[in-house]
Amino acid sequence: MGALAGQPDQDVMFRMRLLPGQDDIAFSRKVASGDARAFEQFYERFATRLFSIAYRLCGDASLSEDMTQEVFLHLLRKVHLFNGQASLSTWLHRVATNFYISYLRSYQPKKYPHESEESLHKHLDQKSSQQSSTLHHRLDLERALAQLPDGYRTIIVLHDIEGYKHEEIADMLDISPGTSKSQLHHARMKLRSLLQGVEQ
Amino acid sequence: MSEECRHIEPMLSEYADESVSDAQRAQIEAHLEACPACHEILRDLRRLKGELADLPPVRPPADLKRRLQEQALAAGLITKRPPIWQRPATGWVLAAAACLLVTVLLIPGLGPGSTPAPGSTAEMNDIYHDLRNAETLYLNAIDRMDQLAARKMNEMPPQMRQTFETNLALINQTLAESRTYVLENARNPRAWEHLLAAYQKKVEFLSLIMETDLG
Repeated sequence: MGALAGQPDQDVMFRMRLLPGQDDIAFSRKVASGDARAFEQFYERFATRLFSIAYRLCGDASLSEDMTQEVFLHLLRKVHLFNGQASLSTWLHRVATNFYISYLRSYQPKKYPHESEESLHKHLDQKSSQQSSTLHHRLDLERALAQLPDGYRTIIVLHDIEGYKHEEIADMLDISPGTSKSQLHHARMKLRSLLQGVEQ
Repeated sequence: MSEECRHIEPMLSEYADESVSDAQRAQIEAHLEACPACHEILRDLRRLKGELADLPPVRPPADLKRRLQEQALAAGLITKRPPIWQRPATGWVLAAAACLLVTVLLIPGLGPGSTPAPGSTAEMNDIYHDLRNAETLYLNAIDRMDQLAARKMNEMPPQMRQTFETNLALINQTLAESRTYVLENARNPRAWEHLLAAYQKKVEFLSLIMETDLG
């Protein structure tokens, strides 16, 4: 037992941690090493957020499944590059968002089918909705969001849902910050008119 | 829409985001006082912004993880772990023993003579009350998991069952030692932290037993 005290098993030490994100670099290295258990934790920690971004960027459940699958494989190949300058979560979301944007660019010629009502109900997290009126309004908002032209939807998702700044969006989309600002205003106005159409 | 509205309306999003200059703000606010239409647009933009920020996350389908694991395995991005009973027993025994040592002996702040936690008595009482509640919740869950795991182990081949039982005994020993330290150092948050970590470890291990494929 005395010999063990000097070198506690790394896997045990890793799993003893109570707070995820406490040691992002160690965790990312574990994932990059191909450890199946670390991959599961990686998935559990980030899948919902990454799926949500994909779903809202493309407005289609089936396509967002493909995108999420592809982004995880991409992240597994890139996670060794994480250097701890930002949090792992921030770094991953940025890499994933860039990946999604370029994925969707290559998909431009394809027209995404809009979500059916059943599909929207199935994918939205209904636990958090206490009142049906809130749920209906949210469905209207999701539907209106899916109906936006691709460029408008991308700006709204990045700025208003994901919280990126105009400078960051400009960098991701290769546009100027001024264009990002004016596109955001047009996108919000379009969304407003779509919602007014839904509510009338 | 007036000429002034046409000038002001494109700035309303930035105004709602509080990112206009002082001069623009003064200009917009002067216009808003006299223009109900632009005022209504601003109200809608603010509401929309709030609703978008509050949109709840969207759950991925349940089988996405399995499909992704298969793809990652096929691409060589993750390696398949052998089932626990096929791993060298000593590895698990040593891991659990290391867990015991880490929990009980190596953590600074454990043991007699450690520094009491900062904070008022009332605050600390509240914290220890919550920690005791957390322990009770763990115990309730573990009690039910123990029963299910015991049932599962009864269906296992003898060698597999013995491996699980040996490791479970070590984890239980870890828990007993951690519990003793908490009793002796009830006002030491680190002692509680590691007791709860040991409970978490047991939950993980019982889950592993219950999820073991016997096919």
